[in-house]
Amino acid sequence: MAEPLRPLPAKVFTRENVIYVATIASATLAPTAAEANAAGSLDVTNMAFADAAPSPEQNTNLVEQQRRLGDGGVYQFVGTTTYTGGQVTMQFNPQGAALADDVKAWEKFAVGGVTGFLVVRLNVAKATTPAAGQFVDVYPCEFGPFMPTKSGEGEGAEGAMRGSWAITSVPKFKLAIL
Amino acid sequence: MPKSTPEPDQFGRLRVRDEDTGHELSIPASGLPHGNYAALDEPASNSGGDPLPPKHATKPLSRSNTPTSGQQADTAKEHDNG
Repeated sequence: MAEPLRPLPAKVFTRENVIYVATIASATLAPTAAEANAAGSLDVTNMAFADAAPSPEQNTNLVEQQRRLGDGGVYQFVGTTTYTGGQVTMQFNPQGAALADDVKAWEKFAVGGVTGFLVVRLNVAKATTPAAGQFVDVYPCEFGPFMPTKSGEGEGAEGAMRGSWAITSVPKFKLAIL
Repeated sequence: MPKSTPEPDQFGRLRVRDEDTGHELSIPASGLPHGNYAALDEPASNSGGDPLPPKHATKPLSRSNTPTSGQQADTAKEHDNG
């Protein structure tokens, strides 16, 4: 028998980007390179803390079918699927000057009700500019209000902002940037 | 003389045009400096306090450019409904 296929691992350690994009024109949700790279978009890869970075989740409900009189077993249906955002903690300098990099995320998101899309790109070096043909996952999202807080304990503590984000519509996966 | 920046609406938003993409959208006023935005003198929120939907500079992709199978496929019905 031939050796079974063993695809190469897609290494994502330090090779992932999470980019907030304010609006995407395509009905398929595939962003254009211009949208992903616009100054109004924000790559939060180096702002979000690793233990509280945006981490979209999916949970699909499995429900038991009614057992028919003659059934010897109980079977399932696939029910609703819930897409969830969660909490996110990002760098924030409480003393940062207006418009500075260390308050950029705060000034974009803190007020809450900020809608847009989270574009997640994996297995590309993080400093690589988003370009046509790269595959991304796109999550329509809304950021809740943020509050200043601390991240880390003791000597490692630093200024941070914490808030929630929700997935507000059907996410789309493995879309090629246009 | 440059036009003065419009005031944020009662929900703290501004309607802007993103000069990088041409799209018009509503953003929190605090985000104005963090993008290549031109503030527009237009409503940014609806009466319920939600941001008005963006107006995109480009038309959605033509049908020939969209996947015809798989998870991202658009259905013919979606297109037929305009």
